[in-house]
Amino acid sequence: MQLITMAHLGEAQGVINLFDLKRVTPNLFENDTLSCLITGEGPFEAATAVASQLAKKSYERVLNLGIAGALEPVLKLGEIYPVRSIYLVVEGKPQFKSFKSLEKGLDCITSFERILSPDKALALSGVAALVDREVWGVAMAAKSQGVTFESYKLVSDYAGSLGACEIIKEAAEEYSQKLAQFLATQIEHTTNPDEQLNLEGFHLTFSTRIKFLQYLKKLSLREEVSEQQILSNLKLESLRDQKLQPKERTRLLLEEMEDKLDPLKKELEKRLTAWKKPFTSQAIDLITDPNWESPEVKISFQVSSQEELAQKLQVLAGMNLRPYQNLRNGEFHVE
Amino acid sequence: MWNKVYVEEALLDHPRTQKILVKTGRDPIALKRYDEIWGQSKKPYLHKRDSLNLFIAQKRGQLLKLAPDAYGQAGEPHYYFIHAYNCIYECQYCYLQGYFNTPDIVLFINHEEILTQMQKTLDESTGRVWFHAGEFSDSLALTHLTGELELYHDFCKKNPRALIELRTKSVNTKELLCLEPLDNFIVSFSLAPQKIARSIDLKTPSTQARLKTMQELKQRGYKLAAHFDPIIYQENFREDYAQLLKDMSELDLTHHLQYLSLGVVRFTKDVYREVERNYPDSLIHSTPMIKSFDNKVRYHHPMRMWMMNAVKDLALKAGVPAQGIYLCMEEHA
Repeated sequence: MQLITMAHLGEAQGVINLFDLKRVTPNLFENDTLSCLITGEGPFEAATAVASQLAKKSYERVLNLGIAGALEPVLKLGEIYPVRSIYLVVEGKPQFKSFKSLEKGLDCITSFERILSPDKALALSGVAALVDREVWGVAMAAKSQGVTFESYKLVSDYAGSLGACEIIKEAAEEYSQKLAQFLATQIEHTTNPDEQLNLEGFHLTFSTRIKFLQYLKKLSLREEVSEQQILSNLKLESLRDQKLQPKERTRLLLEEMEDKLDPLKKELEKRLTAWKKPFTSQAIDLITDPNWESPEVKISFQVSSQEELAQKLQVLAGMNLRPYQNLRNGEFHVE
Repeated sequence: MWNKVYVEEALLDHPRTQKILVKTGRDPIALKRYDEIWGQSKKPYLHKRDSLNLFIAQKRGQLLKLAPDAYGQAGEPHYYFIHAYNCIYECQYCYLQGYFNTPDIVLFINHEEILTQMQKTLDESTGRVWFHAGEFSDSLALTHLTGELELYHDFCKKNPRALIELRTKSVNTKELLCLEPLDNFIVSFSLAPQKIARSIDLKTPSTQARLKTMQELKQRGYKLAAHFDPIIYQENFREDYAQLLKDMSELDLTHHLQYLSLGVVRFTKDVYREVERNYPDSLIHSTPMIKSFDNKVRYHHPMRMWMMNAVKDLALKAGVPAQGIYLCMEEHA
């Protein structure tokens, strides 16, 4: 189900007719796949109306459609533009919070007041190319609910110019039809197919799956080949052939990817283990920062007699921190 | 290049404003203060590609800031002066992505006030004092518009104890070449191996072009420095830096560097988030990073020290004077 928001009934008439929407409440029209909500003008009014509708029903996408004034004289009347970023202006002052609609398109600024003078329009023209009265509120409501949001605007007039209102009135029906036709093209969107990863025999939890996908992407960036190619170069088959639990297999797979991503990891671990070995063999744990940030080494052991304590201390007396410090400081040779 | 040009009302008739307006060919939009519009809304960084605005303004508040530790060579005070906000280039690691709320450029034109502050700072000190340009904007890229170099050059001429560093990736040296070389007026170039620069330093002159410019400046007697910062890991980074240093050596640049700073790539948490958002397919993301000792996002300690040591060794072998090499923004610097 998709939620279409429009400011005025006049603008929405084309959509209502084309999609055969039935009036559910004074401001809501619906069929099986679409709801069209008339929000009224003003960002707060729009935000309240959309938030209230989103609380009542679950929607995949909120799509704001409507008219906007052009702040750039080069824009063509009657043209529909995708909206990229959405700003808000209050008494001439742009507000901090902005929202993203689409990757590409024109920026739109929502104003509480109508932009009637050319000076006001000029000052805002560096912020956005379009000005409207509600989209910021719609975006805020949709984004705060985590619903995908998009906006498209039809240029109805040049903000700050004389006779803007007359132009809109005269062309109202034409614009309404155009918006409806445009919407028809937009709702044919296909959803992205689920990512197909053949990881049979592996057990990926939510977090290991994220890790796996991140590593896959990093390797693809590093080696400048597709993720699919990276996947085919991983030892998936050889891991599947081993008698392992799916969880263990996944751990080894992630380890293989980590080794490829971090050129030092294997070597560091090997040398660190070698440095610790004389102590671990005597049941003395040397605990170092797994991220190598802290130079500290925590020493941990248990004793049950004075003799045992003396023996452990003797082992520790021969401890040299230098090899660990050298590792931390990258002072080793790696091909 | 500019979407709109905004000018503070009080500066509309200023000769520097007029000069900039003539060169941009744009009609100004007047406003009382630049920050009525600039930075008021969160403007996505990449909007600079098609809707970059220019603001001409007066710098108020702090005109000079004490540089953080390990900003320059140790042992002397370092300050940076603020003549502009934001940059025309688009380096994928640039911290400006997460620093201001907008990529729009501000040019501050009250240079006399900045210089007065620099003089005061210098007079209060007994030894040499460094003043760096280019902290918030490339220090040469727009000098053909702004024309302030001469003022800072005069300051150095009158004050041998003051050192000015112009940090740049630009080859826009037209204004600079009109000025005589001075020992305390140093041009420092940020350099990276060509492969990295091409994929990461977007919209900047190529490494070869920067080296050629350095050579030209050296031949004219200018003092030069270089920054290998950020060093970014990729499989052949040692070979690539060796090649860069070889290219520099062939142009007789390595022996003449006043200093060379080395720094491995690092980000504040906010900037890292912006880099992920703006450049999800960047080579920067191909090597794992961690939250480090100062909460910055970096490679792990052995890795960054290993990389820095490797490049330092290469620089020494290429003839960069040992006393001129310093490690930037690292706890061992």
